[in-house]
Parts: sequence; C-alpha cells; structure tokens
Amino acid sequence: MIELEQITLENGVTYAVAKEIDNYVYLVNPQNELDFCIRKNVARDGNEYLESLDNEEEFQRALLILKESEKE
Amino acid sequence: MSEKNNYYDTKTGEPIDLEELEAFFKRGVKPGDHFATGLGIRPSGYDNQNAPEATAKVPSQKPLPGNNDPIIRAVHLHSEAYRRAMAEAARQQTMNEAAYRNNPGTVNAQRISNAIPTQEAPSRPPVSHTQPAETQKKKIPTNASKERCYQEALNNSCAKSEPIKRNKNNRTKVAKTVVALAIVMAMSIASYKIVEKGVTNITDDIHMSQVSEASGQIINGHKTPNIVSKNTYRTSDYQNFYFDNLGIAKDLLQLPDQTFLAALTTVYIQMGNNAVNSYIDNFGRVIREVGLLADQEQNAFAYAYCHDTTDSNDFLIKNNFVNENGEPSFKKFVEFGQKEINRWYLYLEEYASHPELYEEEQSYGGRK
Repeated sequence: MIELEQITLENGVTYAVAKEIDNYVYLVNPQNELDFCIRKNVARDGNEYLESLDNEEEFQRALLILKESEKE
Repeated sequence: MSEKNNYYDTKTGEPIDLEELEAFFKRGVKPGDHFATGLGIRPSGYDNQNAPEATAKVPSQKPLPGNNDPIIRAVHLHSEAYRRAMAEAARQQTMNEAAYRNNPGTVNAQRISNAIPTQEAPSRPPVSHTQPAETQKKKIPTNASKERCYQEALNNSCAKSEPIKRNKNNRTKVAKTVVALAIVMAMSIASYKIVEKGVTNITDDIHMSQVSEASGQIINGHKTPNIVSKNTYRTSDYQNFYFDNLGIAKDLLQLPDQTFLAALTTVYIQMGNNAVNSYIDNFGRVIREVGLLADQEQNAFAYAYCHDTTDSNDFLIKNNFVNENGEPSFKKFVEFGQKEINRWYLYLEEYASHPELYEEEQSYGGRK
C-alpha cells in the first residue's frame, strides 16, 4: 500500500493522485483501476487548484506526456 | 415420481419427473441457462448396461403442432423462454447504449444505466459456466472497452467544473497494483487511441507532404527518410562515417518553419545516440550552419533559436535551456522539444484523418 493525496471531484468520485508531470495531475480511482482522470494544476493566491482540461487535444497531449515519461 | 417414463438423467441415471421438469421450464430461464441435468431418452428396447446414451437437444425449429410428447413440450417452452430472455437482454443493451450515447460519461448516464433492471435470475443457484466476477474484472481490455475507458476519462478530464482546491494533507492508502494498473491502462489507451492510429493512418495526400516529412522526423523516420541518416556518409576507406552538417542544416530549413524545434530535437536525439561521434559537437555545428543560413522572414523559428550561435552550449544558454545552476542542459532542451514533438504528432494524427482541414487552415496562415 502507498499513501497518496486524495481528491473528490465534482462527480462525487474520490480519486488518488497517482502522478504529476509538468502541470498535469493524473488521478486514479482506488476502487476501479479502469477509471482514471487527468486535470491540470494551477497555482493561484498561494493555493493550488485542479482545473479541467480544455479539450480532447489537451487530453491526448497529457496522455502522450505520460506515455513518454513512462518510457524513460 | 408421478408417472413411469423412458426419460432419465444421464449423470445420475435416475428417472426424471416430467411434471417437475415442465414446471422448471415454465418458471422461466435467463440467457446462458441450459439444462441443469444431462437429459437423456431411453430408446425402445433400452439395455441398461450397453445402450449408448442419447442426449436431448434443443430444436431450433418450432415443434410439430399437436405434439404431446412432454419432452418436446418442455424443450419448446425452454427455447421460447430463451428467445424471450435474449430479446429482453438485447433491448436492455440498446437502452443502455442509447443512454450512454446521449449523455456519455456523466453521472446521470451512469445512473440511467444502473437504473435499468437487469434480467432477474431464477431462484436457483447460478449455472456453473458463468465466469466469476473476479475473473471478469481482470480480463484483458478489448478495443471496445479501451474506447469506453477513453471516452469516460476524456469526459471526466474535460468536465466543466469549478477549480477544486487541493489539500495535500488529505491522504489515502492505495494498493500499488491499482495505481500501476491504472497507469498501464492510461498508456495502453494512449497507444491505442493516439500513437497506433497516428502512424497507420498517415495519408499520401499531396497537401500533407510537407507535414509528413516533418513528422517523418518526429516519428523517427518511419515514414520518410530522416534527415540525419540521409546526410550520413562513410569515409573512403569505409572505416568511419561522418555527418554532412551543412546538408542537415539545409534540410532542416526546408521543413515547415513551425516544425523546426521538433525536427531539431529529433536530429539531436539521432546524432547524440551515435556513440562513435558523441564526443564531437556535431549538433553545435549544425546549429551554427542553421544560424548562418536562416532567413528571418522565411525561417523565423530557426532564426530566433539559432542566429549568432557558435556551438551547442551557446545555443542552450541563449535559449534558456539551463539547469538549476544555470549550466547548459541538453535534458531541458529535449524535454521542451519532446513537447513540440507531441504537439506535431497530434497535428499529424488530426490532419491524417481530415486532410481537407489542413488546406483550410493554411488559408488562414497555418498553425503556429
């Protein structure tokens, strides 16, 4: 078992922060390994927030960044 | 037993009570059910020791009208019930899919999907051929399930919502395997949805030729000859080889201007991977040639990055590819270039699927 930061999204599902690469935060559902989600980290007023991605292009870019990072 | 007959269970050898059998079929069955017992029919002149077993089979055609044989009646009831159950399952599947299509990935769609009642199982133990839930969970994802995961992850990731404040002290314990599986799943989806499709869907459209050439660099020359190998020569004694740095620089400048940094990164990766020449600053020489040749109007990116550079370190420092100590860092350069590569990879994928969009975009000045 590993200890990870947890975040409850607007749909009521609680995700764990599995990875952070650049500004992208990769979330996994501890109850279901097929359920994952990507958000971007934004720092504002000394706090950090998770924001939705803009569109599918950004989602695919985040996926590719994850893939490339795992290659290394 | 209510009556004597020629019907028996092939597993136990016991005679079958026909009233019970008929009552069982009348109770209804669900898809996937089959005869719970091995049903057999004793032929006339049945020899208990030597006669071969004749197992009853479900006829696909309608039974003969007016047939009073209890087994035929029971089989008919079974097949009718089975067909009804299958039709009901198909109807539910269609409704689930429609609910998902109309409102994919949302909580409501999930609720709709969950709210649809599933086929009620008869009040008897589940049949043995159904797969245990645990086994189903660990099944290798198919393309269909990857597509579904992709759509759900996309909808979750791009859902319009207020920013959520992070609290890094709010922690939970998660099994390592779950995290690893989720990462593998995400990568698998990335491969399935982006990479493989991007490579195999490259078109030969004439409008795509320039982009394809640049992307040929990006995809390590899978589709087009890459600049580095094209400009690599053997010495006359075939003992060594060398790069034509000027040729590489000229070829780089012939690519679409916006792809310059992505192409330059792949040039560095390919040259840097060459152990024999790694101690010579070939990359720096290429940069210098590019800086000398680049035209501010035609090759704005190349000019901005390479003009007035003398070698690799000069290039890295001038463009702020430095580490925490302010030292030139190829790692920073490759990280930045990799993002450009990803961007162009997606660009290629997008326009390979819709080449007509490329022309339209060019009329507005192209993508920057």
